[in-house]
Amino acid sequence: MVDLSKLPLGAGLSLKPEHYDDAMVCSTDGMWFEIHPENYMVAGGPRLAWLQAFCNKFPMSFHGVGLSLGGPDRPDKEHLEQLKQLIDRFSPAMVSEHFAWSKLDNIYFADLLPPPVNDASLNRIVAHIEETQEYLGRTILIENPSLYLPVPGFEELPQIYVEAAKRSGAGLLFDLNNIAVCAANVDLSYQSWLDVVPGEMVAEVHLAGASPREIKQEVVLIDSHDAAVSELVWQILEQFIGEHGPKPVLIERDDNIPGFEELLIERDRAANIMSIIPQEITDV
Amino acid sequence: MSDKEEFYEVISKSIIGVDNSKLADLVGDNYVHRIEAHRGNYRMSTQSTIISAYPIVARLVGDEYISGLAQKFVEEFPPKVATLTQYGDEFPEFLRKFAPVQKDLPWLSAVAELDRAWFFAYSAKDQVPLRVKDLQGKAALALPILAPCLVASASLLRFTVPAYSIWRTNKQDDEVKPVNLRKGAQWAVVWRKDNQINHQSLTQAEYVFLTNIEGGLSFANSYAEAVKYDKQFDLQRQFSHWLSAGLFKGDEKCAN
Repeated sequence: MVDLSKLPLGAGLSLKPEHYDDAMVCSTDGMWFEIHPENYMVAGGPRLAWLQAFCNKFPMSFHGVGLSLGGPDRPDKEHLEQLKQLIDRFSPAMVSEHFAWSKLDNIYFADLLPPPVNDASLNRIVAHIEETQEYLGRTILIENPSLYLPVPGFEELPQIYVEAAKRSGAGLLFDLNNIAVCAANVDLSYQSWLDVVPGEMVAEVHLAGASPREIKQEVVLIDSHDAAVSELVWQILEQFIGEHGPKPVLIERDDNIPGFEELLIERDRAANIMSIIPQEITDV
Repeated sequence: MSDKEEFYEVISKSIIGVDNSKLADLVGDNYVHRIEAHRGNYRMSTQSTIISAYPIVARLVGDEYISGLAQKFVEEFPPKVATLTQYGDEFPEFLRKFAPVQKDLPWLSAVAELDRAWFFAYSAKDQVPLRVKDLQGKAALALPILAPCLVASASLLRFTVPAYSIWRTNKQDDEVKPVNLRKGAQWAVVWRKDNQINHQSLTQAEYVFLTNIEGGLSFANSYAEAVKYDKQFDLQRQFSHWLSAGLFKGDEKCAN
């Protein structure tokens, strides 16, 4: 099982360059930060200097978006090597990736696309996760995807997501906004995820905002990370934490980024939810 | 093609817009339009990467035009790797060959080169520059044969148009100054010292001098090339200036 003690059982924030100065002097108890390692895959310079400074001061989580573990091809060796170099240099508390694909035939789609939901796909993803863990020399967490399209077999997506983690020895990064997005777009309720995802395998939780986009007179909810966390997602968090106890919870924001203080308010709300849950309710 | 490959092919071709005829078989007729959600994500992520990587180009041409340029560029050069921080190297060359830009804004690709040089300097590997103390103990006569090379963050640029003046005033001046497009050729260097990005205009002789240093020639031989363009070229002054600017690489070997 993934070592849950590596990240604080509290709330953290995704770290953006706009907030480096404010975040560096943040003295909030139990604070931790998460970055996308792809943004730091550079040879040197100020960005890596900032990352070093944050790693010296705060627990950090590296949340990858580019390994395309759900794709038809094995993880890209060069990308894996760049990721390993970052991990070896900065020793983050947690490393995670997505149960999704983003690359085919030498095109990177800059998106997290749902994989096929079938046994062959499951076997392939398990092999890709295992290869990644072996190369990095550590266990990773896998995040559940959002759905806009009802891909064949999508009803079983929660089951194969959990099964992939069980078979590969990975932990789960459970994104509660993604399950709300799935529920809004396809016939897959958030409860169907909560019923299947074992709390004891969840080593990190993500919260984010989504935005409606009108496409041909239909409103599709997009996992845009450009808005505040919705009330529905807060409710899901309360339910999940109520059942499984405190977890490391991250407020994600990647676009339309507000001031650091505004994000801290959301972060404190997540911390507050966990503080009122009796500590004996825990899977750890 | 196996079933597993077909799933990926159908989604992939639908996102880049070349063929979505088989998407209905995968997701049903009523949901084909939703591929626009993924298309939108692809479009926004890739185009915004180009726009933020070329801020002065974007400022000069405005939101609508840069979005159009970025869209054309992404169609021609889709990203191949997930490290989007490195995406867009070909953009200056794309602008140089793109007929509407070539006709109306012939200096734009040169400005893009400067944007790229700035990013390159920002993310190049960390190196200790040559310092005065490194030279202490060396005989004065030995200095001309030193060949220290330039730090990895340095880019030497030459333009047939006054691109550096255009780029600099848009980069740093509160009030953008007019630039005479008939001003002619310009030379410039962009580099990083102590995590600060620096840039400076060069004379042709300075450009030749530094280009030869970068190419591995000694100070003496680089000076011999520079003086062909400026008989008053002052080696001592140049050496002192670039040494304090942190442009020379610290160790003896030239390879970056």
